[in-house]
Amino acid sequence: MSDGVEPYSMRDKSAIVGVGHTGCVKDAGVAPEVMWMRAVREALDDAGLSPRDIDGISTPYTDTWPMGAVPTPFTLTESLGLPGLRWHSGPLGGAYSLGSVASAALAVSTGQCDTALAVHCMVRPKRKGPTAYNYKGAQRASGVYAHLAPYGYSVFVQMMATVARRLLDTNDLAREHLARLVVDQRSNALLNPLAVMKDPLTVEQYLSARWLAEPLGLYDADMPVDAAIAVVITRSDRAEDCRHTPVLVRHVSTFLGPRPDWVFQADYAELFPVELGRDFWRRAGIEPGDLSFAQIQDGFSVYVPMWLEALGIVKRGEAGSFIGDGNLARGGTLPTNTHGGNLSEGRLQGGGAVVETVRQLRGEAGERQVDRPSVGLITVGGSPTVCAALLHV
Amino acid sequence: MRCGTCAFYVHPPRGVCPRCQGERLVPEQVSGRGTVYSYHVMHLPGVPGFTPPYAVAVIELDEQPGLLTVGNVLDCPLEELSIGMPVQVTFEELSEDVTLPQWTRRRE
Repeated sequence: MSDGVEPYSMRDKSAIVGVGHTGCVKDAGVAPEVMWMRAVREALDDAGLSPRDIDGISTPYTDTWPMGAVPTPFTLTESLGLPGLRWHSGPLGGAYSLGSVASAALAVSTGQCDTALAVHCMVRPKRKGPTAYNYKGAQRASGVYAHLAPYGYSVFVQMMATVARRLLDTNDLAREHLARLVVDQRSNALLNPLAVMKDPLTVEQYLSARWLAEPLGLYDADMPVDAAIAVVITRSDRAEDCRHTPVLVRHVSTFLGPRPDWVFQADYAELFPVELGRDFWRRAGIEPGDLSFAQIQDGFSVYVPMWLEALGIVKRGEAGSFIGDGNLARGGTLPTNTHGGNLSEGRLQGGGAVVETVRQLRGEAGERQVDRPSVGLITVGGSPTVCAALLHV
Repeated sequence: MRCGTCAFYVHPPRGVCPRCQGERLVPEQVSGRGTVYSYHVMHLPGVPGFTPPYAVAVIELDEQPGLLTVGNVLDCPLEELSIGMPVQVTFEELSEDVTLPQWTRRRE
């Protein structure tokens, strides 16, 4: 790590002191509120704190009129019996779980509140077809979708498939590289009791799986689950009083891409936040070579090589061979998605990545523990809105 | 559309030019020539009116690098579609009210 501290910096002013994770299952059999409150209670207990210690809450969704089965600052304040909150917000960069943790870290670092809770809950769609997740615009097209739906283009996987096709054909990426990534992550998930996927996966199974939208197959897409996570963030000067080793928030960063869709951007190889990568490391005072491990957003397998290149961990066009050479595997130079990722632990939109990063840095990751880690990278999102964070002990 | 101030082509249509912030964006006829920038083959059901598998292509128009539009290459078998394939616009009449710009292979 370099020493040049930015004069205006959140660096190490906040710490994660508690995490909770229900585990990922296909049907939890309880109401979403029960799931997320289980995660909240676990996180508070993990921190050694009580609900009354919480004076800030951030969640991916912040509607004040709670219509959906999602946690909001309002519903959580009521559920925890709090008189009110000093601070509340949505996610930094719209990046779901990590974005909520990041905005909480910013709030704590700037004195908006002292101890914040970030919560995320995912519910697996129990019906198939056009009413399910990601079938945006399938029934009625407006805005950009009006230029897509008439051509049979309106499901999110189609956008990523089109991006993947471009990268596979022009950016030295191969299906075999993605196979290595997916198979390695599955083997990580088998060592993670919270993961939904319990069976091994082979390269042959990956390559012969049915297509969703070619060139993306069944195992390129994350696994929908019922699950919730909660994270407690507090001032680093108070973190030592908590139950476990504090995990310091070194830096968080967000980026807004130039277009709201994944279709009409001029260069698909730069769809992920290359601009963020240009100064992320300098602002954090950490170099890619300092990383002990990374948890990189894998809503689809192809996100991972795009993130590696966008953040400058590898040069453009080199992510495929970097993955193919096994660098991301346990025991590789950059163990990645050590919990199995969204692909094999379950679709928590990076929530599992936050919990895993904390447990790895505390040395609590059991059989999948990385050897004496000190710095972990987390990225969530793809384009146009993202969040990246560096945590350390 | 094309910007009447700086001549930049814009698609999908919008109200202000993203290059010069000019307000005089007007529809402009283009050559109808382009190449396949990328594509995918959809295998999932769920999009009304389409029976999988079918292909959707992103076309880069000759007028300007990075000027992309979306369509189907009507006369191309799925396995022959490829990035860089030259294409030419055609118009598919779906009903009296609806005509879609579509694409066919262009032989050089």
